[in-house]
Amino acid sequence: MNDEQLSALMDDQLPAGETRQAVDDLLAEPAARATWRRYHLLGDALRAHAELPATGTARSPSDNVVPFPRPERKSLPRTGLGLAAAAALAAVALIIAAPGPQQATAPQGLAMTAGGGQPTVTPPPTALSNERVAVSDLPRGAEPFAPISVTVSQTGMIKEDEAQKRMNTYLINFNEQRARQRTPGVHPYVRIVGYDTP
Amino acid sequence: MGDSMTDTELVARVQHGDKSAFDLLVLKYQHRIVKLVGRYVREPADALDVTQDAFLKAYRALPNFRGESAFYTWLYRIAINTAKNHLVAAARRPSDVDLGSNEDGEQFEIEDMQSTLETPERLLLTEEIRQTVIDAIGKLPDDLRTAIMLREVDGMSYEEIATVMDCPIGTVRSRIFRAREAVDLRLKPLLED
Repeated sequence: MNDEQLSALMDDQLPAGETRQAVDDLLAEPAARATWRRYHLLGDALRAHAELPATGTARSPSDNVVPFPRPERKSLPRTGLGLAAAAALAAVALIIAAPGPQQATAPQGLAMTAGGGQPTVTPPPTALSNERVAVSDLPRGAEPFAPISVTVSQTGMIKEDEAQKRMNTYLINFNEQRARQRTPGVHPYVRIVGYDTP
Repeated sequence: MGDSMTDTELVARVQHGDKSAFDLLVLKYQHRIVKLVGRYVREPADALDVTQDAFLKAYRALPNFRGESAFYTWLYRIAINTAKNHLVAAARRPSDVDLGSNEDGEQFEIEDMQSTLETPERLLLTEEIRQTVIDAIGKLPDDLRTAIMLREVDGMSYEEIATVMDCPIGTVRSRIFRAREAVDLRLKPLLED
């Protein structure tokens, strides 16, 4: 009897007709008996090992669980977005219309220029700047109540479609950020204006 | 394990007077019986004594075994009863009972059984043996390792393993044998006396 037959015999997987002969051979061959012993020892060792507690570094089964990615936050309802966009545009209009020292610091995207008291059209910046221009930064002699200019379209109006689209995107992003960081307050609306191109 | 044809054949040989066939049954089941008895008898030395006693009782009772249940079920029942009796006797008589000098005076059988059972050190599966087996298993190719683990640890039949591994039964048989053969190469030197 070869060892493969012996292996199948100990698993009770030999065909019925072969089992009797295989048992006869097993009883007659000391080498086969020794192999029988080792093969069973092998199985006992495996089962004993399988019953040992796991030796991994995990302290509990949950330590091996890969966390799910955080669910994306739901975007604002469209009606809410519309209202927020309208409020933002109104606030931009107020900022633009308001002259005087309360504009001591120009919001991002606004440029302080000397000249008349009305907003004038200037070419839009090629890139957004985070710098703010304060009155104290103005050259000596410059009028403190200098008119401001805003980046608007060539027609003198903010491109509403584009601005609305950007505003919506920005509001969504902003609200997500604000909710995450629990930041109160409003966002710098002028970014939206700064994006507008002639 | 199931209703094993191999066990049935070996039992038949024992019933016809071939004691060496019983040795093979002992080699097959001794570790499982030690583990079973160990659930009742905490002291390892006592568990080994009870295991030996259980096999002796099984050997004596085997002529009356009619095969109405699987051999291992019958053997397990004897082992559990022997362990329980040991606990009762130990509670009644704390002093040790010498199993080697029982009322039947079958000292010969006891010694014969002792020669069949592994030494206590081996029976408790030394760390060296276990580690050798685990190391060897870890070095096997995946298909061999999976096959032998499904067989030995999960107790699946070849047919079930063939379904799980999506291969013919003949392949399962070959993989299990090759796995055993590879581990045996490492195990054999440890067991040569």
